[in-house]
Amino acid sequence: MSAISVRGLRKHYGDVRAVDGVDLEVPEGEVFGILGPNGAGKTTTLEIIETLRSPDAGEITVLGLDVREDQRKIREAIGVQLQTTVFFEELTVWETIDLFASFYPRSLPVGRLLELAELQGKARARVNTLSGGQHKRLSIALALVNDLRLVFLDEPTTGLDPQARRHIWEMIGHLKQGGKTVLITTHYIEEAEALCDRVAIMDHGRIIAEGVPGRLVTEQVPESTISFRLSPALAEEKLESLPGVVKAGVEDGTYRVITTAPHETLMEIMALCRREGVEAREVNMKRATLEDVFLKLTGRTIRS
Amino acid sequence: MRPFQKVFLYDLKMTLRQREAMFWLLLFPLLLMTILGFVFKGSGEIRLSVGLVDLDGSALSRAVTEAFQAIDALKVEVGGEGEEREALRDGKRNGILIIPAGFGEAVASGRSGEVIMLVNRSEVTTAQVTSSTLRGILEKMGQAMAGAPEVISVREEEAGEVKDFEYIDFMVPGILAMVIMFSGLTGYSLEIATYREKGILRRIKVSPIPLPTFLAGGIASVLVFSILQAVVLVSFGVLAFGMRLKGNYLYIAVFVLLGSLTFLALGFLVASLTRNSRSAGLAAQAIGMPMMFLSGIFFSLEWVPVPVRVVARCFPLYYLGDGLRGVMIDAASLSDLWVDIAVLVGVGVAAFLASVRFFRWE
Repeated sequence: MSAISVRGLRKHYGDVRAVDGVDLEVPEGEVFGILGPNGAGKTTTLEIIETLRSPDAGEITVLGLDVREDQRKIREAIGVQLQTTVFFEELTVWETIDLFASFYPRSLPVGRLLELAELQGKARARVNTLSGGQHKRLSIALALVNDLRLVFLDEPTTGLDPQARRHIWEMIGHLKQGGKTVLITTHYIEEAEALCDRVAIMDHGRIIAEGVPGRLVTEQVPESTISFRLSPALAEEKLESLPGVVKAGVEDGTYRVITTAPHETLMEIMALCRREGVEAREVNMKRATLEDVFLKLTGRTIRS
Repeated sequence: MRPFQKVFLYDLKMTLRQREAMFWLLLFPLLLMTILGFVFKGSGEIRLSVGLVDLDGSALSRAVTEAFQAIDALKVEVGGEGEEREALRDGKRNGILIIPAGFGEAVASGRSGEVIMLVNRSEVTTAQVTSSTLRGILEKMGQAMAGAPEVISVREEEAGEVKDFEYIDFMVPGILAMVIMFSGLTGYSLEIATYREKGILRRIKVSPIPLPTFLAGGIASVLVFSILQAVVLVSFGVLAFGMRLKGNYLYIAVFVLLGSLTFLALGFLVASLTRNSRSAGLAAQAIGMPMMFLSGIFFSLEWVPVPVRVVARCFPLYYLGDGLRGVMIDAASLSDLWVDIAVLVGVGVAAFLASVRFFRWE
């Protein structure tokens, strides 16, 4: 059984089609990411699945339960971290977790959740004294309070510095090891690539590509870029005629070769250099990323 | 029951941790009581201020003057005619008596001695009292001088339980009603508006706790806190100002709780109808302020013009003040105050239903 099944989901706000026909299938135990720019409809999609908003059209089931019929049961069975949650300012971290734990029929001990969020040292601190990263970790801990298999994380690392982001990635990594199903939205490419078993790329309320991140990249943007410096210089034409090469160019002494067969091309470049008596330095091979996939499909970058 | 208890407990904790709220809901009413209590201390007794002008200067007129000065209920000032008339005009005297020249001579020769009385008619409540008191004293003096026998003798007995009423007794229930009103209008209901703004309500919505349970926990903590406010305020009135608390504590609690619920419901309605917590706060103040001044909270409505009394009866605060005063100083029973109870219940239920109708999660 799929943990989440979405068919033909639509949600309009006046003339704005926030979600315009989305299909999703998330099997149990998978970390599934919805990647897209701001305003693509990621959060709306997530919040409809979480029972927070009602869909205009579509069949949506969560753990086999209908989002329109069984809201209470779904809410008991899922853990949710919302994009912007501010907690009760006058409560401490410990008290906040204790309060939320009481809402669920079953819950993990507060100490265990503090441990998961690595907030043991902050148990007695007021919520409003936490840093951005600690705050996000607390909200993820609250999503885990009922220890269920299905967890929703809405942009869990937005606005955090790289170190705090790593910290949250580790936390999500533990969830994955624990066999939880996680639905996560993000507009960070690295995050989707680092965490997700599968991603759906969303733009203007539609899913424009879906798959395992690595395979998605190979399918959509098979080209890799090999860059290097040569001394003495070589004519670009000699590089362009190598097998697999799509395009070769040089700029400020740095050669860039775009290829569909990166390993083979690299070997050939090395062989060519030996034959010509040229020394290659700063050799770098870069595969395409989901950013390139998005760029190819929409003509825009995700962050723009 | 578990989520209800936790919400109740943590809400109470949060309230007690809000320093600013503690000031306005507990300390400020005490300060207000202290100020009003001192300003109006003893104003419950009436002591008439009377000016005496002796233009005669005879032995008899001097005897009359001395006799007046000896009367406890009067504060007698002896002065010249011009200055006493002016004092009367300035409102510094309730009345003046002028003993004209030739008074002693007239009495001695067996004729009636005339005394001129002027009463300050602008003091509506005391003019009548002043006039009859002065007349009575003068008549009694006249009889004594004429040597007439006392036809009626008065024997005063202990009257037992008399409604002995001082300003503090009136003020404490009034301030308590005011505090309950503002707690209800601007306390928890604004908190809910803030929760809505910050997205906390949405987080509650995606958890399995039903909203009514969540709100019930919060309301229960407000009710417990209102009892605490009542205990603090009334104890302060009793201990610091010798307020005489009569009546049944249970009835007092009934009015405190009923008032809290009514004004909470009004507060929820205001918060549901306004765009954000800021405008909700301003709207609540705009509703609360006129009610506070016009509902007979600080002063009895017996002293204000009739139109104001009519307006006051349109405000739910009037009925809470009236009910609290009834159970606290008149030792009234709940059935005596059925009008107050009916109005508070009616307004509360109507506001509650309307706020349910207009409720928004975000």
